[in-house]
Amino acid sequence: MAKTYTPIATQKLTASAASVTFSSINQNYTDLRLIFSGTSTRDSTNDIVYLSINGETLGTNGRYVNLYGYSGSAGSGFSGSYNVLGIIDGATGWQQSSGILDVFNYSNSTTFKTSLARTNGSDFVHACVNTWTQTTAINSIRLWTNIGLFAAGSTFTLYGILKA
Amino acid sequence: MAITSLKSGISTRSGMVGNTLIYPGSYESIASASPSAGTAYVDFTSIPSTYTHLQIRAICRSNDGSAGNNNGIYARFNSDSGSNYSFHFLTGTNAGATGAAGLASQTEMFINAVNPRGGDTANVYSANVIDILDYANTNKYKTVRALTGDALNASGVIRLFSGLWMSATAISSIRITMEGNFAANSQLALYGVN
Repeated sequence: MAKTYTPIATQKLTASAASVTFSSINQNYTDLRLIFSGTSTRDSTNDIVYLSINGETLGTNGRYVNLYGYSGSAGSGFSGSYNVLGIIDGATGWQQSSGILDVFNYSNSTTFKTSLARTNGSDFVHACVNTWTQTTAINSIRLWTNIGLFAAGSTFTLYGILKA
Repeated sequence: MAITSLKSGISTRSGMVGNTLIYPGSYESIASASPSAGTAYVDFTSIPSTYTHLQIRAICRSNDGSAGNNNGIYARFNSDSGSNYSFHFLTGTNAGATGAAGLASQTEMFINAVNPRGGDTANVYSANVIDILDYANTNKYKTVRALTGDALNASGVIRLFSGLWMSATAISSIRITMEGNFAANSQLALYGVN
């Protein structure tokens, strides 16, 4: 059997940053998986991480449905305006968030692109499904925070998964 | 348990921020299927027992010509059609409310409750990651977990599933059935994880 789950690129922030972009993504895989570990510089409050595909801005072609537990309550919702990775911790202590984003059949030019994401942190767990309503192959992914910045030391690694 | 660095090959104890990056263990592609429109099911057979876990990654759409984001995907192992399956799931929707449900003594395992159908917006597919844990172990029943969903529109759904197959037999074949049959461009891939 062929080994897969190949690292494509990795970024470890040496200073806080407003966004992280993986561009010129190799088109030779079936799926992408992005693994994240880090925090936002937003005081003690959790922050949202948005997902932009191929350089698009919010409100263009993204939709998501989420499911979450936060400080003892659960909820879910839908947005017809954007895609998200999820929620991350604010960087006031040793709390760290981690997340996984799976992007399916990203290089085909036939289907809209769907992704699943999970994040967890000190007081929340979040899952969401995104649909990007374009058939264009995905060649770049940008993650960016809603209010704060990604804190120094945050790491992002993109892997490619190839089917048999 | 140590984690091996992506860059240096050095083992660490944590994938947390500031530490060296994590590198996955062995993850191998076993088989894949791209069912043509109208295909009722996909079979993965002769699955090697040499992995620790299996993972199915799929995008799916139902060929049912109606509209409505609610056709399901089912799994059956080793052709067992007995009432040996149970499942539970947690749901997130546009309504803002979460819901949960489950059934026991089923003849197959429900693992995805929502897929766009032929009458829905074109080109939208569900996303599915299905983990079949310790599938080759002959001393325990088999547990499955799955995260699935689509954001077709305001009727989009995300679901977190857990399933049980009450058999201690090693899993050597998996049948994935789509309610209303698969639509063109659906794709399923089976991986082995160590």
